[in-house]
Amino acid sequence: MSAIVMDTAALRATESLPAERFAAVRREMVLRHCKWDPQVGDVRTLADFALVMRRAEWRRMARLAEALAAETVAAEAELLKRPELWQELGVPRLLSRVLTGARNAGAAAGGTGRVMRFDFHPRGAAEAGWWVSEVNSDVPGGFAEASAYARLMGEALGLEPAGDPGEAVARMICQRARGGFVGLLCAAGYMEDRQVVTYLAQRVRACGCSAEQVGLRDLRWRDGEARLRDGRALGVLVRFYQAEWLAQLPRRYRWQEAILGGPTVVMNPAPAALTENKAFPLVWDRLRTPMETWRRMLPETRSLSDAPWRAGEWVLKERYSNNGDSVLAVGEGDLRMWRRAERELRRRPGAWVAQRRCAVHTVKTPLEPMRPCIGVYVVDGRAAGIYGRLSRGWVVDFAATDVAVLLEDDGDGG
Amino acid sequence: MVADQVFEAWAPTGGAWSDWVKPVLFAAMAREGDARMEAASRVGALVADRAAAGEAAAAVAGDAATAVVLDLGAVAAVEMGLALAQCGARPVPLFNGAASGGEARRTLAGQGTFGVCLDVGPAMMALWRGAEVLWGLRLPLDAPPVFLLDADRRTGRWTAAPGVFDNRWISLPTDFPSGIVLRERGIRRTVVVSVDGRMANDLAHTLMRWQEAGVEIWAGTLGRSPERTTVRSPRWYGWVWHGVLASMGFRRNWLGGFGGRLSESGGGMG
Repeated sequence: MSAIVMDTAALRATESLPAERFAAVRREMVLRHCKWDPQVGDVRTLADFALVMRRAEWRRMARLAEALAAETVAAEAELLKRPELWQELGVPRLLSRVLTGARNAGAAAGGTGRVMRFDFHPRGAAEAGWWVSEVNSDVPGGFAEASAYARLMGEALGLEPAGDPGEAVARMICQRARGGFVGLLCAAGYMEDRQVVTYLAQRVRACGCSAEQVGLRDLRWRDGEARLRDGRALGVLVRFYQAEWLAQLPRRYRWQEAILGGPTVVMNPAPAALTENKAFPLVWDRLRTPMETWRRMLPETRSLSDAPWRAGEWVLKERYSNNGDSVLAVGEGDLRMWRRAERELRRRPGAWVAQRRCAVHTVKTPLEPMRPCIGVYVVDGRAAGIYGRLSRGWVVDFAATDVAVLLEDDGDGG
Repeated sequence: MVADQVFEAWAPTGGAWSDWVKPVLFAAMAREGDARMEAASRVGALVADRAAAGEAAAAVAGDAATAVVLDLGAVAAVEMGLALAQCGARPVPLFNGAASGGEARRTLAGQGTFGVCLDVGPAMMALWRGAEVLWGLRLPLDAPPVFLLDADRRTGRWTAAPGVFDNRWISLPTDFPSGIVLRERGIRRTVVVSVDGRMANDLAHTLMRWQEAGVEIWAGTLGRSPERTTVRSPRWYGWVWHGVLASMGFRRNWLGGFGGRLSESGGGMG
């Protein structure tokens, strides 16, 4: 499929910043805003240029993202009451038990505070508008890049970012904490996760709440309330730890409570695990919840067995995949990787879904034409900012380049 | 000296290898505050023997076509890296363990660090002190690299237990330049210096890739001159995130990515 270079005013790249100026931005990010992976192999993960979008286009995207968020939350509420669909989604058995607990407790999908990120891609060919490839519903990251990096690049270029999602999330957390202590949880050993929670902890503290990173074994749970070993009660537990990962830990870690919460509010709530699942679109036809916006924006998605994916033009996604680590673009990658892929796909075909690769615009950048992924955050139902990434291939993974997305007035640019 | 200058000393703007410097400990220095770091970095004697580091460095110092990987205790790696800098090489810190917070304060108070798997405080102080040395040397921006690793990274010094801040880490091929980039920049040989002469499993994944790209691998210890060696394919070689299995009890998914049995998260100050 051909990709069309986007040269409209809807989304364009700026020139690169002068080297010294960009070095100052990069240094500020790594020293003060927790960007600890600015280099992955031979790839610089911070672009020294920005993407620019007109304000009217951002307003349109924001409305779309808010509509998608509303549909997602409504779908979660329905899915929570319909366990017969969980198996179709491939929800792990132990996680199903927790979701049953959430259903019995009457957990509201959005009631505990909610942040999601929707991945938009500019449509190519003769179509206008955007595709939305997925929602990062359970543990979206990228707050430092979408907030501090966008602000710093905006200051350097004289343009404004679309928002400050780090601030929006921090305020949401502090509201729910009601003066209580905030714990932030992530998996050990993953620096890319550690940097996200460290950044969020900084932002939460700046909003006036006490916040610390915590481990599961630091928590003492009683009737849904978590306390630290020193007795301090947690008002909020920020769970930057995928629900399906937690569900593979031994029960003695009390991970079930870390998903369910109670008097200690857990963000994101348990039902988020249902829509984080890449098979979520496969059950839409069986939902009563109208999914009109989603249906307009999502590329065709099928189960692996229903998709002629070997003919190309498809992206294969593991049901629970993170950061592009288990996403394959048919036709990309080397032979050795595909041999492994074939084995895996034969062994566990049900663990994968296929999404049609649709025509997308690429953007001329100072590096080369690249595919943009515009991640729009929705915090408690309101669009809050953009996490921009650029990739050379079809998959936006850990080696994608982060790019600030800035706004210009509707009469400017071109 | 302020944190920005310390970082600039180790990762100078325009430096050929600056992009690969891991920033997490420098960020921790910035959080500690410049005055406190400056004071703490003057407390106590060096853990490593700088003279011995100089002798050892002389044994492995190469030419413009030689890269060095120092897989030693963090402070020893910094000291030997600085000794190699005296010979014209550019030390590139790849320490990637998060600080638990308060390292400088505890150093000033004469307290040890407890409740952390890996005490990164001494490495922070060594890097802060070393910045002055590097400023004085005025190394060329394209000096050959000396990559600094902490040999305790995978196991830590303290056992992970409830309440212990788990900041262990592993070295991944994506932490380094590729073999292709090394060769493009004139590197033909890599000397690995480790505590016991054995190659850590996580590092072997990187070295195997370099070897496949045509970079010779030599191995030695602090007391032994390096000899040419052939890196054998380590377990799970070729998987994207091999290390999750190797060191932390994580189960690799089929692409080597996330998923499976996870080690427990540690706590601590963010």
